Amino acid sequence: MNKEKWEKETKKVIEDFIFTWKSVDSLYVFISNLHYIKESYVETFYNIVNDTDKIYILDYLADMKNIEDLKYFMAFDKAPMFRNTKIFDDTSKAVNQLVNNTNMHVVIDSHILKALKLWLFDVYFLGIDYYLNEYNNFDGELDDIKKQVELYNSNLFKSVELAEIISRNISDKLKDYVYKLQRRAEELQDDILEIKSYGVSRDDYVSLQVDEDVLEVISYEIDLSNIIEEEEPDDFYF
Amino acid sequence: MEISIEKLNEFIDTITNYIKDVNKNILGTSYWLEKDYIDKLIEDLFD
Repeated sequence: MNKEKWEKETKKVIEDFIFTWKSVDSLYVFISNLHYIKESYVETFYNIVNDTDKIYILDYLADMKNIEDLKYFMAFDKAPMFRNTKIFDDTSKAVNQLVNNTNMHVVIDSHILKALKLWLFDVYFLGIDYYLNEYNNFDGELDDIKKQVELYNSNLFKSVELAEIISRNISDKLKDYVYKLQRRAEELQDDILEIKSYGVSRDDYVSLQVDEDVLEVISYEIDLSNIIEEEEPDDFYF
Repeated sequence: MEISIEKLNEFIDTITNYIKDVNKNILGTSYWLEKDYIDKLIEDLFD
């Protein structure tokens, strides 16, 4: 793949992410695409720096699987263990720092970081709604309640006692269901508040949402013109 | 006496919409509904 096509594909991945970040799934789509971006970044860094130990964060981003990873990621630039980490506005500056600074261990493109933080803020507002819409059946418990109701309504056994037993059963299951809904919402809320505490604010979100240049900033400032010369990624797929 | 699936769905919607509303107004509101209120909603299903 030539450089122009690579850049075009990379921009497309990020644009797609910006426009489709409406659900929890969009993160996984983005991360899986990021994996391919990473492959090319790593290829580039290998060529210039020739030191694989310095590319931790790119590997880490591509390996994120769940919300615990995300929480850890959101805190990484504040943790003492990452005091040698720097976030750069553009990739060419980052590479220059890697080449010239032997104490530098981790590097990340600030716009990818910003995109991830934006996604997390989206979760902050939409996560619980999404969960309630998609996963409110609790492994079939809601279906089971509906079956019990159908049984109760059919009154097959013409028995008052049996009807009372079934109605009590339905009541108990409904109470248990409501408890689980509330408990799960509270757990999600704790996760989201913890993420929020890592520095994502509503003001950031609003200002970025209304800024029409954001997409261009995120897409076009991944400028590889000073990095890729003649080397091209061999196995880069979308 | 019957419980219509429609009424059951209304019950589920009432609970989930309450939780969604709490999510939108995140500060200082509890997800936990009063037990008496839930009991009354369930009781109404059987009316």
